[in-house]
Amino acid sequence: MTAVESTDSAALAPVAVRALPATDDLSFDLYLWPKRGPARLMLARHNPLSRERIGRLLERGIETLYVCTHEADRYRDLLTERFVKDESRPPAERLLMLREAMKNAFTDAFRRSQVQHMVQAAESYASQLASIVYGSDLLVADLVGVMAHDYSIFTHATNVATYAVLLAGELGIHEPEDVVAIAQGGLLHDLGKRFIGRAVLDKRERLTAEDRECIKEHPRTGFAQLCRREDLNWGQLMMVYQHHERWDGRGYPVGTHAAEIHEWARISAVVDVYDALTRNRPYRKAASNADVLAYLDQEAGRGFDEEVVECWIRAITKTKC
Amino acid sequence: MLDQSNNENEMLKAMAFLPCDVVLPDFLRDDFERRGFATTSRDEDRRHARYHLRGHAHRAAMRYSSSLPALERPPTVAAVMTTTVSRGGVGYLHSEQMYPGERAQFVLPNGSGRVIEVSWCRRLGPRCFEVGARFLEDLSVAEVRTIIAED
Repeated sequence: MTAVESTDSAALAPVAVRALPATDDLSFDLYLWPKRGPARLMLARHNPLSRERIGRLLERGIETLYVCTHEADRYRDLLTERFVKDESRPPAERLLMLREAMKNAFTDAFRRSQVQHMVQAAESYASQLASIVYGSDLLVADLVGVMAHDYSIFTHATNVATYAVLLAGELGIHEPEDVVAIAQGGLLHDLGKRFIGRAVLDKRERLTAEDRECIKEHPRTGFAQLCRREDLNWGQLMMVYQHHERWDGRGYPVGTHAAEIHEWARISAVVDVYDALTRNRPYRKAASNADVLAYLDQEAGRGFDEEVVECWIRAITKTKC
Repeated sequence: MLDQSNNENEMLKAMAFLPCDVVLPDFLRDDFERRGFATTSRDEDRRHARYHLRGHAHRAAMRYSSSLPALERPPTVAAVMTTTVSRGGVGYLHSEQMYPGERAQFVLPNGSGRVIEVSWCRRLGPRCFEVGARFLEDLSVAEVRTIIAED
């Protein structure tokens, strides 16, 4: 094995071993990065990566390997070709692989505050997401069980985008262009959180009034980052700006209410809260699906558009015939 | 691109004759009796002192522009009520919602014309939105004095 200089370790991006496809000719170097010590080259490019080898890694408890960030595109392309575009695979599996494939590009753009890259990554993700979901027999209930519930902005953004597409379908939005746009809006809805410090976002204690004020700025700052772009429509911008507005006018940043809230923002409001409550946070454990649906039902017509909540509950409790 | 000089007279006329559609909520009426320095309740990084204005007396005119690609705004003129002013920006009440980043041509109560960019907006009631905007070009101290003096 070849040790990577410690200064280079920061330029490595994690990849899930489970998501690695077997190949005769690996197009990127794979690194092992133990908890102690520097990252080491495990398998050089152009070598075969067999199913057996992937299985042995998992047996040894190795769930994550690393690729150089400048080779992350090759990894993404491999996943996309092998899994995402393979229509013989179940849609839920393809969605999970899509998420894995896009994770590095999306997270990296978010961390580096590169709005242009962020929008591009979201666009690419959204069109593939829409192509998987659109016309498939994918049920929300099937998907919820396999969605990640960890606390990360990427996971939340991809969950919201996926749920938003499914909910939009339930509400009768089927134009492919709209479906892609809604997915992209869902991916971008929390863009403004880039300006909130980790100390606040990861806080385990109760948030102070000042913390809450800081967090409440994110729809406005996200909107301000995107509002001059020619490639986003008003509905997408409203998914960013209005996703914390409430039906009764007690939301933020403006306090707009009811019909003043854009239809797409009403969708993102419901799925944003659904995902936020069903995932683990630094300060509390995930609530059960039943509890979250009961909460949404209770808030229908107060916090959220009643019709949108009804549709979401119907979608999530729907089972295959 | 906003043409600041174009139609400024028309806007001045609008300021005098155009009905202001803002519906003032009861809790705001006392607010207009305030004078002098305005405190800052938001983290706004202000560069200049800000003064209260009595909105009833300080009508201003604003012309929309389509400054955000996804938001179409016909270039109509609206009368608004100013609430605060500083060298760097203006606070006003408007009957319609405006959005961060939106730009508009603004004629202040003393007749000074400026292009503004909306920083924030919040709803205070039906047909009443409070808007905070910055001037793309600061007012002079003398211009601010003129506006305050009319109060």
